[in-house]
Order: sequence, then structure tokens, then C-alpha cells
Amino acid sequence: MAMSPRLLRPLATGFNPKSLGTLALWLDGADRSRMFSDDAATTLSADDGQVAVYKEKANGYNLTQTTANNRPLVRSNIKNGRSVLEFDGSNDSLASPSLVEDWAALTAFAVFNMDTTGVIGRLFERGQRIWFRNSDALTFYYSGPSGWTTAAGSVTNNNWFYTTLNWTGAAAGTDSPQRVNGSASGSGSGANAVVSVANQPAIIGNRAAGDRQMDGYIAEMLIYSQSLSSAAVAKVEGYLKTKWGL
Amino acid sequence: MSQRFFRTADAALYEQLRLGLDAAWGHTQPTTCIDPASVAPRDASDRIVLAVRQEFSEFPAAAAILPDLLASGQVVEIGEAEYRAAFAGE
Repeated sequence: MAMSPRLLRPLATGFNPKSLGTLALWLDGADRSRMFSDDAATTLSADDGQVAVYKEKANGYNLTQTTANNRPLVRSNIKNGRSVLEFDGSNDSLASPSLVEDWAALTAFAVFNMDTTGVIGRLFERGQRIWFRNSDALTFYYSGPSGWTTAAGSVTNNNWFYTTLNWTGAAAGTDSPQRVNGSASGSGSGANAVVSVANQPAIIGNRAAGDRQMDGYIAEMLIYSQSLSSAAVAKVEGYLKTKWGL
Repeated sequence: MSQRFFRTADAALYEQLRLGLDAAWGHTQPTTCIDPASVAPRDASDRIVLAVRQEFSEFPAAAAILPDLLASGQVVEIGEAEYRAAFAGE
């Protein structure tokens, strides 16, 4: 079936992330129309309200949290006049059982502000693909093939960053795929990552065991299920930088 | 953000409180107010630990029972470091 031209129309910014490749997940903290306060999908109206369901913008999958105390909050006017999602660093997360299989390659973008004092913050985890912040390092773990890559010294507490992970699916050491604030930022990689559980639901802000809590804000996250070209990466980074005033 | 941290060794009491708050707030399964005891984080002594935002403890149903629970000693308010100690590093 042909896609409706309406679905491919440019967004208000003049840029549509879907035009660059296969967009698998898109979380936009500024888009309140995608946030719902309960399982009945009541649009979230209150500022600082709990987000029970986020209908992500790539394919309409629901990212959900059934435990009320573990729901992130939407916080208004936090960055560049826009709302963002706040994760409490204790137990907040959103997960989608519809997104289960491991990506063979991926390009992920995130705009975040995270405090890792006493915690290790997950940006996302999906089976054997894990992107997280530990102290001042941004690290990506993967298996099948196994490896890890890290950008040490790249991020600090309570500051905003836009970051890019562009992984071709190659084995460890053959690429160094991370960028921070528009510049390449990789200081180490290896082959000994152990990510044992394949094909687990995608989780934003924690992992299934609940012990990798993100403490801070996610303004926006986009994940493509492919490795994008440098030109495409630059377009997405430019979109995020402008939108979020970075 | 402002949070409060609690601990209890009584899983049955924890479940009673959880279900009572669910009833007060109109949650129906699978929605619940706090993690069930079966999956709630525990410290090295197998006691349940719980973190909530300040607002959570100020909701009327929670605010009404919290002083008595703390006074009884069945629920203990703990510090953030003690809560964090329940989670291992990467």
C-alpha cells in the first residue's frame, strides 16, 4: 500500500527525521500530544504529570509504565522553552514490549541532562544493545558480535548534551561510533562486553532489573535501525541543536 | 528533584499498604502505585527499599498513614545513600 503523502509532509521545523532512513523509535519530550496519563490513553494535560504511556513518533508503539511511582514526569519549559521527560534516578522508566528484536545496526541520537552521582544511567536498553552513562563516560555495549565502545570524559553532571551513536554492526574495535555535541568522541573500545540477554523489550531510563536508573532529563531520542551516513547524521544533529538551543 | 526513601522488613505489610493505596487512588491491575513486593528492590538484609517523589508522600491517602507507620517503626525513613546501596555497580 502506498504511503499517504500526508505522512511524509515536512514538520514545522522544515525537517522530517523519517526522511533519512528507517526510524525505529522517536521520543520527543516537547510533544505533549504523545503523552498519556493512564492506560486508557487520556492525553496528559497537567504540567509535571506522570507519563503512563508515551506513543513514540516513529511507528506509534506505546512506551508504557504500569507502576505509577515509576513513571517519568513531563516537566514544562525546561530547555529552550520546551517540555522534557524527567526520570527520577530511583525507579522511573518506560518500556515497549513491541520493540524486542536486537537491531543489526543502529544510529541513535539523544538530547539529555543526566546526573550520575551514585547511579549508572541507562539512555536505552534493548536486548543486546545498551547505551548508558557511567560517571563521565558514555558507553555502548553490544553482543552478536560482542563489543563495547566508550567516550570517556565526554559528559558531565547536570549539563545538556546532544549525542550520537552510529554503530555499523561491526565487531569490536573496528569502529568508534560516538559523537558528543557534534564532535567525534571515542576513547576506547574492546571485545569483552557481556550482554547476555537477546531480544528483550526496549527500555528507556533503566534496565529490566530496575537497577540502572537514569537521574535527569531526556529531551529527545531518535533511533534508526541502520547506520546513517555522515551527511544524515549532520542533519539530525543540526535539527536537535537548533530545536533544543544547544 | 526531591525524593524520600523508605525501608521495611515486612513484605506483607508493604503489600497491604500498596493494595490499600491502589484502592484509594482507583488503580486497577496491572496498574499499581508502587512496585509489588515480589519485584521491589531489596537491600542486603532482604528488606524492601522504596524511593518516592516528595509529592507522592504528600498525596492525602499516603500522608494519612505515613506518620503512624514511621512512629511504629515498621517503616523506616532512610537516606538516599542507603537506598542506593541496594543496587550494585555496572
